[in-house]
Amino acid sequence: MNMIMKNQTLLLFLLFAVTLLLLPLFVTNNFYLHNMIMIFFWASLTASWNIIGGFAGQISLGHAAFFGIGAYTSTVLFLKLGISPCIGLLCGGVLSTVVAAAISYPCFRLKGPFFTLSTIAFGEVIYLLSSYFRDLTGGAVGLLIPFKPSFWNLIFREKIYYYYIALILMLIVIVITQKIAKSKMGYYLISLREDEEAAKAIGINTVRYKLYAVMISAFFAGIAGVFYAQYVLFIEPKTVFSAELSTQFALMSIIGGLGTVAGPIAGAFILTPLSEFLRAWLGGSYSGLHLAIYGVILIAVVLMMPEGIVVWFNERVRRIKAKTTKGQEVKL
Amino acid sequence: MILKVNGLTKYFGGLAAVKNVDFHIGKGEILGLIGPNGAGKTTVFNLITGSIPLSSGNVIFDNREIGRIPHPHKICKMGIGRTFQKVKPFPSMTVLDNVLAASFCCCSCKSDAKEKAHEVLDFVALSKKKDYLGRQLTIGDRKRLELAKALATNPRLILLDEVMAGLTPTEVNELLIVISRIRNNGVTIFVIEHIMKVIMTLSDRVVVLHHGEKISEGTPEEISRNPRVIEAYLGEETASA
Amino acid sequence: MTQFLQIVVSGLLLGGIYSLISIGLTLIFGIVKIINFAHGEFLMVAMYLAFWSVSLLNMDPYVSVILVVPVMFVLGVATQKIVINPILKSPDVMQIFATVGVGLVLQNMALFLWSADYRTILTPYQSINFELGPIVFSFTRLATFVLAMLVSIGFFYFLKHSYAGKALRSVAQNREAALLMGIDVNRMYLIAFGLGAACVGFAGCLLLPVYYVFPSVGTYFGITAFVVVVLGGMGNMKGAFLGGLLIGLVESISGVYVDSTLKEAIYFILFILVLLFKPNGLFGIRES
Repeated sequence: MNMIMKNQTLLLFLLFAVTLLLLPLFVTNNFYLHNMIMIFFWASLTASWNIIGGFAGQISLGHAAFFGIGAYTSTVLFLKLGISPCIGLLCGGVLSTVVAAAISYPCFRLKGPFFTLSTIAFGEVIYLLSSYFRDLTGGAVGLLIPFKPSFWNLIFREKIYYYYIALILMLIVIVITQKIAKSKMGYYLISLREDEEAAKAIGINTVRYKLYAVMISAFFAGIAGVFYAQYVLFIEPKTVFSAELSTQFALMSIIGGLGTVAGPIAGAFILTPLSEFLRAWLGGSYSGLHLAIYGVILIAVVLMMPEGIVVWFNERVRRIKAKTTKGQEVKL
Repeated sequence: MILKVNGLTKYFGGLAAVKNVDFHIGKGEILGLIGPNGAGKTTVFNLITGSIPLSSGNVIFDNREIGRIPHPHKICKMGIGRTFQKVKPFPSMTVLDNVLAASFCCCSCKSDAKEKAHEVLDFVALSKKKDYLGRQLTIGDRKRLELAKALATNPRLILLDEVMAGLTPTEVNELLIVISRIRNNGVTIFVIEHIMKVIMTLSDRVVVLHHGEKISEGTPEEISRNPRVIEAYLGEETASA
Repeated sequence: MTQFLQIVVSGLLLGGIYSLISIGLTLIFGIVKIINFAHGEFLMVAMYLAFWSVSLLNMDPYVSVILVVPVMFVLGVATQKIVINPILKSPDVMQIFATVGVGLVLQNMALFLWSADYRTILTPYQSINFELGPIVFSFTRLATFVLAMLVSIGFFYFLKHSYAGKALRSVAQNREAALLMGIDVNRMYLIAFGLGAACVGFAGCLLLPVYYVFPSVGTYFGITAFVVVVLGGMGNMKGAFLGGLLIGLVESISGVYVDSTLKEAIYFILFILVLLFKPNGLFGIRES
């Protein structure tokens, strides 16, 4: 049974990856390409948040900090020292990781909502500091990256390059999440989420594993930040460090399915087109509406399908398939 | 001697939950710990496993001082396993995964850990329910799962905290068999129980706690005749099977 | 010296508002045991309600409490009933996101309906100032402070002496015992949330004459309320009261001597330190 499921999952993933890899052959419209890029981008971010928020159950609402640190690191290195964003990519990821470890370590002793409050506070601190050190970061005005396309500058004229970079990032995050989920680390993270005391009693160093989770999570958030900077070519504290951003990382995972591999991806695939579509349809007057709708969906999911859309959907499919067997919940 | 406890003391604010408790457990022994409610029994367990820091005293496990290590996971890795009075299954994981998580303690490789998990599940007779979710289990099965998780960490000493509470007489007898098999495998057992029949049948020796202090120690027969013990329990309804 | 006193006074006046907002938040936590992540947004809604009462119905902002407070009470009760009650036994993460969701909806509906424009009202008395010796008070700030104090004190009195107040406190202290005493705990939850929102309703009306209203106004006050509540001890009403005044003072004083962005950053760092080292708050957790 397990072997069949494992192969099924692998097959689905390959189908998914190949479809997306070949998509640009059929879709050349820039608007749709942009949409896909945004979806991959959000999927990467929310899937990496899910490692600490979903698997480890430590709900961070300050994750934009790591995203912004990545964006600013590579941009500042590029603008001030002429260092290529290809290298800045790694620097951004690493710095985010280090900062994440430093600020999360003391906060891991806080429980549930108190940990969340501390992440909100840290998010705000980093946001404020980024505006304050304006000599370094350009302050609230933001930083503009001059449009000089080249591989070395990681700036491209055609969207297709961004498409593939974003897609590859997303696929990497998916694969890594899957590897974690099936490994000792995955079991340990879920255990400490389910019951931290019991987890310790079976030999799990809960602080260490939470740290691993937040570091991996921050690393990819940082890389996504660099990618964002290179795509949009303008970053400002208000956008990359915003609390709304942090909330969105979390809510996409929750709506899709917290602590699962497919959940965050599904969440991003469902919610991102919604907002992009609204933006296109309503233009300027759309402001905030997509977030209000996200909020409503979030509440609906929390109340009616807390396991997320993916699990809910799988359940429906399973029930239709197996009408005769005794109702035994089977794990994904 | 696998465990030696000297002058174990724990203060919560001004209240002594455990005061100057001494005892030892020989390798392969089954030591019982009894006492009226609130006597400090679970606190003793928590002090040994490092869940709470001790105020003073020594805990020596296998000739090594462990009293100053307030990290339960380290204590577990050293070879002390425990169950909790209020069972703690991982609710949304399957029974197999629950035990698998525990098996990683001694087996780094997933296939080894899986093998170990299956072994342990057979041992506690939970194999049939390996795909049930933690939250779907009956109380009896949860107790078995709790035991399985502790066993999967390859303990040399296992602390059982009221593992029989809430079980039917049949379930109690079944679990008694499992526990004696644990002993036969060479694991030392330290057990807290309220059910007198269990303690009398199971234990080689018994330590009695009252208001945080040790009031008696000896074989089951000896302590059941001890007037101080009887006095401590006077008016208390002891659950008898 | 005069300047220092002036700063202290300004700080206290502002602090009165923080107290009132925080009392509502800590009440909800003390009784329902939920951190209301939408608390700031409740304030924002109250301020908009007050604003529209003033602009459309020509009410005086202080009079608009008659309208705003009951509406906010109902909003609180509705939130508890629709969103919180079903998930009282759910894991923390669901409870967190239920109120996060509510806040998200409120803030963004306000943004969508009323745009991000900063709005303010003009009152005939707003430029009146009092002078007490060398210190200048603006009438509106003073009125805000005095009314906030009166409401807070009235609230304490209600909690201490009324039957409903005692019932609420008993639920906060021991839910099971309260149930056994025949108290309808679910109803208490509704009332608690309603009252928490009503406090914020008052605060909104009092804040309008001295501040702007815009969709994200709640964010800052909401986070400040968290800081106050943690400082004062979660569920500790007197702590929230004193904490609000303290934070008002800290803010006012540091506003002068420290760069404003840095000031806020320091403020949050202090918050984190309190969370880590004095989780019971400076005043400890006591039921009022």
